[in-house]
Amino acid sequence: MTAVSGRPAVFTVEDGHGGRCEAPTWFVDWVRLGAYAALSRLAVARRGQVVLAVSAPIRAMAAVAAAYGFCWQHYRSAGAASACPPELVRTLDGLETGEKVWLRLLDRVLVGTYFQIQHGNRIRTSGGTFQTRVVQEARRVPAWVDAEDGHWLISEMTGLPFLQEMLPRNDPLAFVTSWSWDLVVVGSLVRLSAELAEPIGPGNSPPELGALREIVRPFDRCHPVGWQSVVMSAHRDEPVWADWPKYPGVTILDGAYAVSRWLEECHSPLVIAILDRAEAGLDSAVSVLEQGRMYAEPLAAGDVFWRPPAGCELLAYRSRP
Amino acid sequence: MSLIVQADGFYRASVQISPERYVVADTRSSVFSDALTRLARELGEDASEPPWDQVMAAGRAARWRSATEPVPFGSPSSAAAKPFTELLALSSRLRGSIESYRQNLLGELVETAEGVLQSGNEKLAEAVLDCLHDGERGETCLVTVGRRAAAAVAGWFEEIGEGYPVLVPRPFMAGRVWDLAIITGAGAWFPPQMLTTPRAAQTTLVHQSWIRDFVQFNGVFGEPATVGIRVSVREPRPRAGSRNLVAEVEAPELVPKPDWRAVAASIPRASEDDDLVDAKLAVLSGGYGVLLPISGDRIRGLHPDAPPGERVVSLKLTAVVPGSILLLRERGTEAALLRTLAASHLGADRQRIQDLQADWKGRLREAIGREGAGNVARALRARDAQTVNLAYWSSDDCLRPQRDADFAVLLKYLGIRDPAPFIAAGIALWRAHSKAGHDLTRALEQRVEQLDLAPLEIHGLQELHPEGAPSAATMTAFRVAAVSAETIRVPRHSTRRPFHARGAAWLE
Repeated sequence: MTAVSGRPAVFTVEDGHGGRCEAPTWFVDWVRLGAYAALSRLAVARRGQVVLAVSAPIRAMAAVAAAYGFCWQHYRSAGAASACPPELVRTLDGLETGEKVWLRLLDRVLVGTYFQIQHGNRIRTSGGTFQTRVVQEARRVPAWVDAEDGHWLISEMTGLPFLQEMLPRNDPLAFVTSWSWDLVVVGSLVRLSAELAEPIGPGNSPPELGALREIVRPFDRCHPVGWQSVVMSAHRDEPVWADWPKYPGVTILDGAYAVSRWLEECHSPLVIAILDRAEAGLDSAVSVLEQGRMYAEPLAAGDVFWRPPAGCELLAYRSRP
Repeated sequence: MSLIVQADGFYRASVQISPERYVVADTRSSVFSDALTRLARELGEDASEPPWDQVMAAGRAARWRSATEPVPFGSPSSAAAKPFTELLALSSRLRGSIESYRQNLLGELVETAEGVLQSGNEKLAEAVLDCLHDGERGETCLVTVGRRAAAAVAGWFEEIGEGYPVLVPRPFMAGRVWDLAIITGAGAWFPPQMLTTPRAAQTTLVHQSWIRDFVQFNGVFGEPATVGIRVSVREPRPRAGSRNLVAEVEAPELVPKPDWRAVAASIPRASEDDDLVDAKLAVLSGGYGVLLPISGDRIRGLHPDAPPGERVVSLKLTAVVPGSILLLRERGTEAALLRTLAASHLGADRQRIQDLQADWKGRLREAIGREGAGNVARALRARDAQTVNLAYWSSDDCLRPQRDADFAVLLKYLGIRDPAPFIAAGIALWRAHSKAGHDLTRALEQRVEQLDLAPLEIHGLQELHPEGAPSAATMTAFRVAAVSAETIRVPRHSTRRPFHARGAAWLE
């Protein structure tokens, strides 16, 4: 697909009339913000927290587009230190009885309780007993990960061809089974869930589109095969990161309520606050941002390396470490 | 429709920023406004005192309503004629009992008010209709500054068979994109995003020519924005040779404001032994006031436009602004309600837990009475307590000090050798309180689901009684009309409780 400008289109989306069209520029701009956040989160962490607050004519799709950009870039730059790297087990002997484990076997992913190694070549778990040679990878599941036990067949995992099209590296299974706590999106679960279901594809006339959720992959306790982000309801009493050993690298606050309620409790090096200029509670959120900025160093447009989409405004500041 | 395509319509509209202005020459309303301004200047602080306070409130309401409500006074739907009638009635009672200079100014005000009444507000109404007729039906809407004006205009449109939708700012902003939106009033009276985030290909402001409006509007981050938005209004060309013969008034000056002195005088008195806290005074719809403690953290609020199940929210007290909706108990505070509800979650240990709490609070109050709060605080800090908040700890609202370590230091200071059962009881109380809070949120959410929130939209307040909950759980949703800039010292027990306030009439 070619854009009107003659350049190749970045994304394909549904046009609302049963056809497809090039994704609008503003959508691509939000994806770029997420990618920029993934690249710069480690650098900004050394110099205090950076808050990028954007007011948009409408905030629909902004947070999930930024989350998409983050996850895509984060995976692309894999190798950079994750905020909370998974606890890889080098040898199965390192496991202790009663520990919760995540195992990737030849044909499935399993989450359950580890019991013991039997006869030197069989691993016994709450999810069954297997030959140790079929275990491709083993990880300890930290106590603060609220994951349900279960097993999931790799042959039944949908969306792998779509991921092969969309990902920068050609290994969808590694992406699907990897863990990352580096991105938290805070907002309305109802809205975010609908937005994550939005179909998207690459710009080269893809045979089929896939949901944004396939890339953003928020943590799902009932399906803990792998995740690239955590989506948190703005209405929680305690933050999801309360028990984590490290704060997430980037937090996206989606909407006025999420900003007013959580901005002061975010300790991520980079916080993206997205406001809809038409939503209720906007003035309260702006007032919280103004209070935050009062004790911070304002950032100039040239310091940010990202231009907001047309119709949006940006307030950027760095709190003193 | 695809969410991306849907959102794209709003992004496209936001790039087409071209609001224009249409001004209506209306000499009668101008001379009335001028007479009101001159009387207010002469009265000075007396304007807030009886008998002038009611005259001035009615006068300001008359000026505001006739400027924001493009409805002929002859229409049964008009709400603007009422304050004029009230003004004339109040003024006639004053005649003969005031000094001659003020008597003259009042006479001018009455004469000009009668002039406006005779003109029937027809000019503004006609101008708005003319502008609406420029647009295509179904693609054109009218936006008014508030719900009262919207109801009046919608009623009048029904009488005369004009089917244009009449909206107020939030639904207009949250709705669709129009071809033409006619905004009645000055831009300064609306949230600036009405003009920086257009929801129509063409937006026109219509108001009287003596109202001096802003010519430029900034985005929500204002001047500090890193990448900002600035919109200029396309002004009407002045006619050749025309001279402005009317006295102009800055648009923000016309917006009705509470009489803060009168509102503050309405704060209920509390007993003398109450500890004092800093608070901000807020005026609520329906003629109520409330004190918002600065040291407080959060207050329960409502976002009617949020998805179901996410409407009852926790608002930061310092971020409560005009337009916020607060959920308050008309009798007592929410904290007192939660204490009652939490008791049922304590189970068989209830009496023991409550006795332990009463024990340490009693000892603390005795110690403060005996040693003085300053000495107790110093002693606790000397024992490595990090946070010491004696006034709050000894109040009924506090369940226990937040940090276990501080609680243990306090208990030992109070002569309790084994703090463990007290700390465990404190944790049990906190959990029960938290559960009661969740239950109340869920019950309120369910009630909000079932209710038509039209009364809240129109009148700014609505009672919410969760089904199956005790009558004490009834809360009222109040829209905040104004928040004072100044902080005042008030008794802690008078905060978070709505009270009937003088000086809060005619605000919409």
